[in-house]
Amino acid sequence: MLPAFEYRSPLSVEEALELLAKYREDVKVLAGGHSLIPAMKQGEVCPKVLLDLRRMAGLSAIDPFEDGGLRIGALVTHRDLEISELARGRSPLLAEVASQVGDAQVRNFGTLVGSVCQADPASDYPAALLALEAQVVVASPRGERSVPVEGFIQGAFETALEPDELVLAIDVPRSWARTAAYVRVRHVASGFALAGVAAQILVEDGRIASARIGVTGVAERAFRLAVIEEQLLGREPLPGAFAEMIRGVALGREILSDGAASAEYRSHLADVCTARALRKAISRIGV
Amino acid sequence: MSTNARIEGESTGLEEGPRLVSGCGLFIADLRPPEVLHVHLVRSLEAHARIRSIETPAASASPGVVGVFTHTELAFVCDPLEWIGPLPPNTRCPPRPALAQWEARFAGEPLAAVVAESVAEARKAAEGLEVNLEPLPGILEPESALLQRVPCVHVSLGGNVAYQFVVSGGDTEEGFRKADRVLTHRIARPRYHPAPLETRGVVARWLESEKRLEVWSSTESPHFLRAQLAGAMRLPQSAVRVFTPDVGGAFGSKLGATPEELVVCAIARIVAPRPVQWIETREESLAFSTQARATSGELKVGVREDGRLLSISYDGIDDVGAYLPIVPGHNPSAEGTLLCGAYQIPAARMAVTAVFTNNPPATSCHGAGACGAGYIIERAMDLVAAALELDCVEVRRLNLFRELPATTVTRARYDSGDFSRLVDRAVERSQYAVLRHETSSRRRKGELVGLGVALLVGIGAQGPSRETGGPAWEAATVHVSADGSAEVFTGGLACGEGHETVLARIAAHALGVKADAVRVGRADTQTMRAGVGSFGGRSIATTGSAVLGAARALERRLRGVAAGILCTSVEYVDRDGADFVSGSRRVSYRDLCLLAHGASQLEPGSSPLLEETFVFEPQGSTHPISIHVAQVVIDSETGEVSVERCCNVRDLGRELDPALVEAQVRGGIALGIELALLAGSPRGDDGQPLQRTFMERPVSRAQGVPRFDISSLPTPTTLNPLGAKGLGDTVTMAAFASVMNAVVDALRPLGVLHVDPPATPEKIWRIVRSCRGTGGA
Repeated sequence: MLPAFEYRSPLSVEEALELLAKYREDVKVLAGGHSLIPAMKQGEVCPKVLLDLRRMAGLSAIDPFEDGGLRIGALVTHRDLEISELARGRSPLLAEVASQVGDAQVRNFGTLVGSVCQADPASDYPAALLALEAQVVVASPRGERSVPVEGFIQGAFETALEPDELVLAIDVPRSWARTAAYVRVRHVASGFALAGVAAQILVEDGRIASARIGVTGVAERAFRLAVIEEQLLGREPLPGAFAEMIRGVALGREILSDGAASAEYRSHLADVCTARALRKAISRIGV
Repeated sequence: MSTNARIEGESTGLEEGPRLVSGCGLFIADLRPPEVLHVHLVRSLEAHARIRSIETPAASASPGVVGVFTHTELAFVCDPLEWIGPLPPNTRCPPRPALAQWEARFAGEPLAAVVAESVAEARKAAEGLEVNLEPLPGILEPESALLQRVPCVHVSLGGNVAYQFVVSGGDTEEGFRKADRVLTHRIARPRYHPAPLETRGVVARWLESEKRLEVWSSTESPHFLRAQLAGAMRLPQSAVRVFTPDVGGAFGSKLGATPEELVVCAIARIVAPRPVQWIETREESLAFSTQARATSGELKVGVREDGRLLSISYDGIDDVGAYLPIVPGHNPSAEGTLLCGAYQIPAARMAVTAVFTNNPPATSCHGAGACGAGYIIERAMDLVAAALELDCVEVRRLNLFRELPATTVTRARYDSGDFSRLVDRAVERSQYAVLRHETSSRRRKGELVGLGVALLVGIGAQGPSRETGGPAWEAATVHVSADGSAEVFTGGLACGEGHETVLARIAAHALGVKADAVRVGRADTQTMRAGVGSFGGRSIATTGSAVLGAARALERRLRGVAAGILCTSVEYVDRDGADFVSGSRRVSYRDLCLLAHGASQLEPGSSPLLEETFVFEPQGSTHPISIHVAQVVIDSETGEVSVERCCNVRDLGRELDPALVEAQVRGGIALGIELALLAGSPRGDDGQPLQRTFMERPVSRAQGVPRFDISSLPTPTTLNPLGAKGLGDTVTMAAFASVMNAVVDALRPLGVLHVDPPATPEKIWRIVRSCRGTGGA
């Protein structure tokens, strides 16, 4: 059962920002509602004001940038991303992740931006967004700013968002690689990632010229595998060639542990998913 | 009039289907009596604690609160729940208070009840309740309950044993001595909550002027609940009326009476005339409600070199939790009679000690305990096959009862069926030989792939009462009104299985009318004055037989009335469609009912009330049979198990409605996979539940189950006039056991002989890693 709240559905960003500035911590922003509504039902959050974005114009679009990048509006659902020709063409990795979120009902309601703002450590997206070096577009009375996803997500359910700020979109730069893949192991109950790894590699002249690997589900926040990204440079992209360097990719971090998976198992899964994501990405060379 | 109802046939689930699938079911949470008050229960956060104090003033002053109740207040109007009637032998059942008095015995035991105008206000007020608990050492592991100098869950009992039973036949020791090999293994099954889609709930209202209590509850046993509540509320049973709305799944977790139901009744008496409602939250359901018992013990099998079993024993400890659930038909030793399964074994012995622990109360969910023994014998068969390097189907064939009827050494009597034919059919339908071959070739390529078979003999309808220790009967009343419309009342009810459709058809067939002339009334202790309930696999076999008996008797009555009207004697009355005819004379069914009620043309001494009640008691327990073949593949790096194939062949006796049976078979298989791979209720070292929502409690989902091949080889039982053996959870447990066997089979190349359920990814990963002595890669 939902506790009582005031419902507002502004039509413009300006109006929404005014409400945020007025109510600050007392307001919760509603997009797909797939995290917020259950949390409200559980009594975990009791906002005085619910700010529904769904009547606002311009937030439902996936817009192309001239340089090949994408702007994904705050109301774009997982399903939109999954089926959008534009998204699949320009950012197949993101579309691949979107297609694996939850089930069909969840994908039809939940949004990419909502998921990123929720900052659930087991969310699928951050792995890909880190690998893609995506930016979060934030509006406030002080103007707009862009924050890299890496800095935006600060911890489990913690972001850099100020109470008077609103996320308008996520910008995904031009993908410089088609050879990308996302591999995860699902939590048997929630379907969230126990470990999920997104990898994209750029191959030039038969050698790895660049690599980006993001890991989610394993620690309080998603992280990049900078060391492995470095080690891959100049190597031949042979499937299974990197087994020796993928040992304990999550070591040194505080690894999550709960009833579904111990830290030791999660850490192992991070290795398995990393190896598999790389293998899968490499298998897509030339496809 | 067109064709009358046939008793068998392809159904449409027409009675309840449209109502339930269109969201028009009426469940307990749909009831909104005017002026209703809501109860929020404050529960113990400690597994075992002394209650120092519960300070209520702040909560009482909270907005919307009508009252805050602890044991002290409720003691004015109710006593603890206690077992009514003789306890089964060697059983101890301490009283269970509505709210804990001095001691909390499990994490989640209700301590106080906040009553308010809304659920939100009750919850909010509960935050202001100051509960002062002094943690005490507790018993969380059943094995430790029997040690010396450990705490007693119930000090008054002076020990932690809830009950014990030994079922044995033949000389097991001699069997082990004569055996070429004696195999032993420790095996265990975890406790878990069966997670019905609809949680529990209760509404109660006290009518002061009539001194009567009305209760609506999502229960499997309304009459039993009435008896328990009347006892605890110090009322005659005639002053308590229990209704059941639609029930959205139960699996044994809604059987019997619980403190929550008593709390609501007690509060209703205090706050009368306002009604009181409590709807269990999902968290309460998953974490604190009645669970399935856990068991662990030693399995021992004596076998000849040729694969013939000479002796089997299981010596186990069951964990019933903090209180023995007070349920009808409590008959745990029934499980022991099924230790031999489908096999002719000269000696068998099952000895179980059930202990109290500081875990939530646990009972026989998913089958009347019987299925546990089915799992044990089916694991035993695979241990034997592995030890002797025989094929697991071959070992089973060697030991099968060749012909039924037969009686096992543990005195289970199988009245009908053909085990060999069922095995043959399963081998054929699953293409077992092809699968074996495929398994071998995939193994050579390094895959961990396994095949598992399980042949489960379950218990459907138990009986007779003098042997089962609890009531095995069921009663039904069929009533025909003056307009010819018929109503059926029974002590049972449906939890979504489609009983209304089937019971209506049974009655219509016997009355010689169309099925739509018959309605099945909701379970209500006032319209049906005595009954037992719906559990195990008894509903069609026992309840259906009672309906058949009542409807047949009523049809004989109608013929008698017709004989009077047609001026003939009853043996000359025939039916033509629904009409009654004798020679050229005829009276329509409708006219007959009208005339009977009018009574002017009745013979002197015959009653105008067109109603018959019939009690059916089975003279033996029915034994549904199911054989299941499963193929699984294990991801050796992650430990994830996928079920690739399922083939099920069943003998559930006569199937009155194959479509409804198949729906339950499919659900049962999905559930069996869940029990094998997912279901367990893990608790922390402090006894705290780790599963509180469906984000933590895994359930079988469509993507986790493969296509099923299901088929039926029914042989009607002679134990009831319908020939139905009942479905129970035989199919579920066959699927469960076969998937566990398949998991072990997949790991056998690594030297694994047994894995306890659930086969969760991390557990399997650890097993693979320890066998390979590497990182599992």
